[in-house]
Amino acid sequence: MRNFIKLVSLSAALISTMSYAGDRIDKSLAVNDASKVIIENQRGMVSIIGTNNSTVSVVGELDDKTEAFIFEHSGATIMVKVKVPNNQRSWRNDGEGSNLTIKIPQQLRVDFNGISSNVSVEKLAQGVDIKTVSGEITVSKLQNNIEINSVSGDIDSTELSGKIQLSTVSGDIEDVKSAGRLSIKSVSGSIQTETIATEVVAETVSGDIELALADIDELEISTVSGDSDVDFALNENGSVKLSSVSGEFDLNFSKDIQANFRLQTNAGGSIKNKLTSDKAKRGKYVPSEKLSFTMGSGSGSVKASTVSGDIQLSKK
Amino acid sequence: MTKHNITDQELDKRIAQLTTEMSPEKDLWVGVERAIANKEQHSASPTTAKRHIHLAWAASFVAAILLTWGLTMPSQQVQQTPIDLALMMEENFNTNKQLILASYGQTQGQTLSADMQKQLNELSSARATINNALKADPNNSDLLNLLRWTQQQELDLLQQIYSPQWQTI
Repeated sequence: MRNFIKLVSLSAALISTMSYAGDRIDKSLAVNDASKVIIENQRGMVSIIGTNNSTVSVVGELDDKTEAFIFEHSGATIMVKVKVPNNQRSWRNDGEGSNLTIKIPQQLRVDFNGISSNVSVEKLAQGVDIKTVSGEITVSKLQNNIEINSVSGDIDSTELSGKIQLSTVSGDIEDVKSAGRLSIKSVSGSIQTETIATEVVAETVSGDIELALADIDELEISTVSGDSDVDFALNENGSVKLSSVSGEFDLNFSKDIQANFRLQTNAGGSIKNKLTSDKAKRGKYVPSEKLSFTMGSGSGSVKASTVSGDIQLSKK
Repeated sequence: MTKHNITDQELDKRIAQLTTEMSPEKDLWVGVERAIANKEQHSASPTTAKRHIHLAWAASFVAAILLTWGLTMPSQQVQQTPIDLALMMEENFNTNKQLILASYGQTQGQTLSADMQKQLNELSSARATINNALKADPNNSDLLNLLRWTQQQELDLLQQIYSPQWQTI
């Protein structure tokens, strides 16, 4: 008899977590001792919002192709999964996917995995790990360890702080008002940021880079053919390292500059210096240019090296 | 005034006209022969002490040259390795690339999306450009770093392109 009751309550619990294609859902789960929420949704749109509550809630409509909806504790993790058939081939944003709003206590860390699902995430304090393939990612007011990856989807971020890593292949990245340590990578997508982060790394193959920075301790930019346009002030002992194959660097300094400059192009790039009267030396036998000079105390360091890209230094 | 206006090309031309060998202004062999002939007669001459000093100087000079040579030899080897290093990096890269392609069961002829093919072409021509620049300046650590970075970008991209997730699109 006891077994029977167990079975009944178990099936009741299972039924309560199983919903069907296209169904509306409105469910919540107490956090208890969970520290992380893992969310998987392949298509559609998911909004994740941090709250001050102690429950995780999921409200909205499930994917038309949903096989199962999983919403359960698994150790210290809460799983939210919209399962659709594996052989699903039409991952286009044709409105057939889920449309969910998930509210999560902001002290929980959140992982999100999607394919074409768009996702927006806001107000979380313990960091996020967000991955989509073609879905667009919009995030704001996140803290701590932030990792955001997409293949072709764009990333839009606002007011992130902590250790921030944004990466796409062909999507564009636009970051506003971030703080802390910022790393932005793309292959062909463009990178744009207006940040007060003091450590910034930007890497791209062919995308263009536009950085509006504040006071920098460390700046590193690497590109193959993408051009970089950088506005910034260099802190005392700050360090800037730039390298590119054919990409151009346009550095626009604000405030006083106390730095040692070492710039070099190796095969065709030219160096224009509008900071001092120092002129680049041209190579005698190869079309290279070299320029080294010091401004102020020379406590900071600016190193730039390109193969054929131009380098330009100017001051606001 | 005219001297200052010599162009680099003209200077190069003049340098080319100079002989590559430099011979002493007077024939030194006469002195050498005389020194050899006098070798056996020098026993008690008052210049012996001086000669010993000269000899000591010469010996220490030779020792110094040998020592510096010995010290600079390893650094010359270091200077030469970057040429091999660039080559080695490219070989290593190609092996890794083949491994990645093989691990995803891809052949080189696999058709890719136009944008990804363009990025891969761009990366491979960037590697060629860097390798060319390295031929002119094989010790340039910036270029070697850039080569390493570019190779890594290409491997990362291949991995992303061929990962199962991307294939589902």
